[in-house]
Amino acid sequence: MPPVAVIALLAADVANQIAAGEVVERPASVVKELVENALDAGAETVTVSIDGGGLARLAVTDDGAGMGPDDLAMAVVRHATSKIRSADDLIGVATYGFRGEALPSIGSVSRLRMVSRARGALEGAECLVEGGAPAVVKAAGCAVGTTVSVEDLFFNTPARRKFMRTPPTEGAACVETVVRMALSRPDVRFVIRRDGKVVREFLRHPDVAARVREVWPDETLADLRGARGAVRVTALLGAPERARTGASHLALYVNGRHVKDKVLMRAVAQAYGSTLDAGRYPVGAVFVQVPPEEVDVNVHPQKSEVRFQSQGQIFEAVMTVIRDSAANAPWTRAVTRPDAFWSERLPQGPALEARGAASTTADAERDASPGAAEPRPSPAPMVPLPERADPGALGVGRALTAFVTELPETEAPQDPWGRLKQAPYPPMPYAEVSPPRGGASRSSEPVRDEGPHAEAAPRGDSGLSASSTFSGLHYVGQVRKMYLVCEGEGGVVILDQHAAAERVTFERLRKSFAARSVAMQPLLVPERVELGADEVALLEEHSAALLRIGVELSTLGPTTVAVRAVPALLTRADPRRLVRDLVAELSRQGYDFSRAVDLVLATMACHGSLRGGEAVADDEARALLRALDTVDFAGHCPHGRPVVFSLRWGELERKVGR
Amino acid sequence: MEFVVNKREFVKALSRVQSVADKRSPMPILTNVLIRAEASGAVHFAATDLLLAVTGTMRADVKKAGSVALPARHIFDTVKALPEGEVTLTVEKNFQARIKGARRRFDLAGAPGEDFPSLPEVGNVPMMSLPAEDIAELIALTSFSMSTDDTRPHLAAALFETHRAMLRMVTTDGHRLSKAERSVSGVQTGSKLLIPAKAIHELRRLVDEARSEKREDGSPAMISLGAASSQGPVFFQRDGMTMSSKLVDAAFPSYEQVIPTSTDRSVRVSRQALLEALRAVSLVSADRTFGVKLSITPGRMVITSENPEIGAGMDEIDATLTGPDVVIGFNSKYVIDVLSSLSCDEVVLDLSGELDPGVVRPEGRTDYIGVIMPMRI
Ligand SMILES: Nc1ncnc2c1ncn2[C@@H]1O[C@H](COP(=O)(O)OP(=O)(O)OP(=O)(O)O)[C@@H](O)[C@H]1O
Ligand SMILES: [Mg+2]
Repeated sequence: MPPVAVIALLAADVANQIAAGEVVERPASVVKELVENALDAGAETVTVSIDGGGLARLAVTDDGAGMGPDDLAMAVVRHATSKIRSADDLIGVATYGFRGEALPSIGSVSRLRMVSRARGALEGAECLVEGGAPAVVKAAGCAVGTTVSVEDLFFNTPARRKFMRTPPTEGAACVETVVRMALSRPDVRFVIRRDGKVVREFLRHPDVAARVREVWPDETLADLRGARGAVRVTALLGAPERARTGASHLALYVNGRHVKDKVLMRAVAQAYGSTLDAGRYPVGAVFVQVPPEEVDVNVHPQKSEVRFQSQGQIFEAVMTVIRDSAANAPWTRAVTRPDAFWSERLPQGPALEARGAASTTADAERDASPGAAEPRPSPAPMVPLPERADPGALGVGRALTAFVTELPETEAPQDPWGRLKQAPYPPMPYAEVSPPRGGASRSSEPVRDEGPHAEAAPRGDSGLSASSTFSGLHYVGQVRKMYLVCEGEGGVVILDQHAAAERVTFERLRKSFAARSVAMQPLLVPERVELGADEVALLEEHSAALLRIGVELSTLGPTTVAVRAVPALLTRADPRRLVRDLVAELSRQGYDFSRAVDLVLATMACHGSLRGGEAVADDEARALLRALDTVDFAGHCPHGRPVVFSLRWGELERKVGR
Repeated sequence: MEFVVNKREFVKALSRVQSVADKRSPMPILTNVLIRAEASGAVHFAATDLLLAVTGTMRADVKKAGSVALPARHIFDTVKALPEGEVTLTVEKNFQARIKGARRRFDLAGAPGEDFPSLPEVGNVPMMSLPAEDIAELIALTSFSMSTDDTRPHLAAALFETHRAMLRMVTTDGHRLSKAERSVSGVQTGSKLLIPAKAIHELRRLVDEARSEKREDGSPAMISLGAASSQGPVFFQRDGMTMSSKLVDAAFPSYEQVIPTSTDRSVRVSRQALLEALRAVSLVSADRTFGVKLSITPGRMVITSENPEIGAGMDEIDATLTGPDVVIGFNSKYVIDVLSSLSCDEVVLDLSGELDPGVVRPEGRTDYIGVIMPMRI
């Protein structure tokens, strides 16, 4: 019996479906491929129609070069492309497409119909592909150019179809995709229709700045340009105080191709320096031109990543061009705060910066486990905290010692960071909502400095008497409008006012959320917030859940929502910033609201709380100290930063040489 | 540069400007006060944080004209520390300043006056003259509802409107709004100026100074106001002092739209009684939302507040209700702010539903209203 051949070429339709898995993730990726093809064909006007979120039907019409009947048939054959002929052509490829993969992939998972007439041809032709079946081509009447329509995407791959979000969310993502492409092509007119209605239209402009401003009409964008060596940078960027959490409103382009590139993102953030809070990025677009041989575009199935020959040089160029020309930005002359104001608000520590940078690629994080997605900031050495399971440590009269961060004891500590490594970080206190404490259990019975946390404390005696809780501290005053200085029995205790207030607000939000009694403060003047269409869809999807946490929104348009009410605990919050951060948090959390609720509440707490730089009245400070006593893990803000820091008398005396 | 002047005059002139100098500015020159002596005998002072600028003038015996920028904090402290009597300020080369009184003297390092940013000048901006008393009242009635959030400049500001013989100030932080008006003579042109909160606080000082100065002829203290254009800067002047401020380059909410034009019910209560009741009852919720509930029936208003962690409080006051009963929640702070800025005996609350904005106004007057969005408790 002849041996059965085990290795065989995959049948064409199977191969296409596999490729489709990489190229075509969701309707937005189809839109991207089709619009790229239209642009490659030299279109001056591109019209995109999205129906039923693009899942029902998607169509892209262009007035480009068009295709004859033979080309039409070839276009849906895998690795058929008119754009490159050999691997050498990949260097400096000037078209968006170069693989010849997109159309066959799309054709294998949908009902694909292309109608096209080549320039100069007398009549057009039509080509149909259903679920990867061989193409059927016949003559058809049409204008010069091409219309590609895609119906019932993923109809033959139900597993994939299951992963689609609601049509509004998918549709919004499609719109976003077109907008991103439109940003770098001011020479092309774009019309975007959703369910029959034109939702956005961009006219042709001689300069990219006009297009970018058309996309973000509400922002004051600075026009920053310059070159460093062979690298040319054109940036249109918004003011630091309008920056968003995450980089979803920062569009980056390398040689006209939209990319998600962390190096570029970091270069932009760094150019803003201390005016930008960690994890925030300005709104706008940055276009980088580099010599084609310096960049490899063929590293990602959706071409959304590139590889630079010399990263450092590109980083430097982008950073310095933006930084140096931003001095004349319109917003630096506007009524804004001086630099010191911003630098004071900057959280310390490189770890926090890292968190900001890490959390910007939503996709990467969505894949990661929730634990891994939230790298802990690692500040000063810390006293280990008791295990969550140890009720004694958290119950009556919790000793302040368990929550304080202490100064290293000696001038040259042996290994402060090594000690830190062993010290477990406090568990994020999101596991469950603890019931409000009854009056009786709040008695401040002195607790000896014993038990696991005392043993784990790095050096013998702790700075503070075990019985002192926050309210037992003597409040001395506020310094730098940032810190509350107190005197305890064992030493000086310093609280970060924002982190402490944030912690308290967070706890209160959680309790009222758990008790389903969130008091709401409706706005007298509802705030309009301009967002991406995908973000608006995301908020709509979660509107009921948001209402439960006290945020009432209504949709005013495809990219506009109005904030109607905020939680009454957060009357200090800027509703716009609050909503933008909520969106960022929601999209990072992979849309699972129940899992995200604590992070969402933490985001809100950050907004509603006393900030660094605000003067604090004495009674306000004392109220905060009292409130901290009602909170578990009061020693850390909801993001895990330490709230308290102590300097023991002994330590102080040694320092001053007594 | 050299001049001789009485210490008290010098301290007074410095005290007006030094507070504006931005002592923590990244631009070192802004931490200074500019002092410029003219041969005519006028000595000008100026300080700015680039948003605000204050300039003042005093008379002195100028021996040699010139200018110098001196650190605001130090010059003020040292002049204060000199003995009473004549004080001499001399500036040597390298901008070393020597300040001498009797046998006590200080040497301070200065900077060239030319390095100081040029400040907006009134020039021929048309100014109108307004009674300081009226401006003081308007500020007291409205400044509490400005936002304190500088990242929202359009709300961290007060709208200053002039229209016919009317001066109007409006502020809102998005949750509540205050509008106060005074009719004044001398207003001809209509204008709308959005003045940043920081300038309003500085204006309050200027107005208070003007009011506290006794005037020989017994005429009311006046403040002149004018703006170079609708983009600013805006100038406020009283004798010998000019304050200028940038205007906020953003749109103030169209406030007429949020002021209810008609309401279903209105309640008349004693201002003092309601104020006391609110202050007391809201203690319970003071560390949280400041939420209070007002249950209004003919003849009485019951004020309650609850806090799951503390307990509850309640009080009752007399009230005259026109219209159906209502239960409505408010942030007590917002109501307290309005009540304590007023001085009338009785106030009227105009209310509709529990979700509709409520109006607080002095009984029998139309020159003030506070609009407050209820809280959903
Ligand atoms: N709108 C259009 N107008 C004219 N020609 C088109 C159009 N769309 C596709 N084509 C032709 O069909 C070919 C195949 O398109 P397809 O998108 O599958 O591959 P590609 O663009 O060459 O490469 P990639 O897979 O990287 O997108 C193109 O090379 C082009 O010649
Ligand atoms: Mg293509």
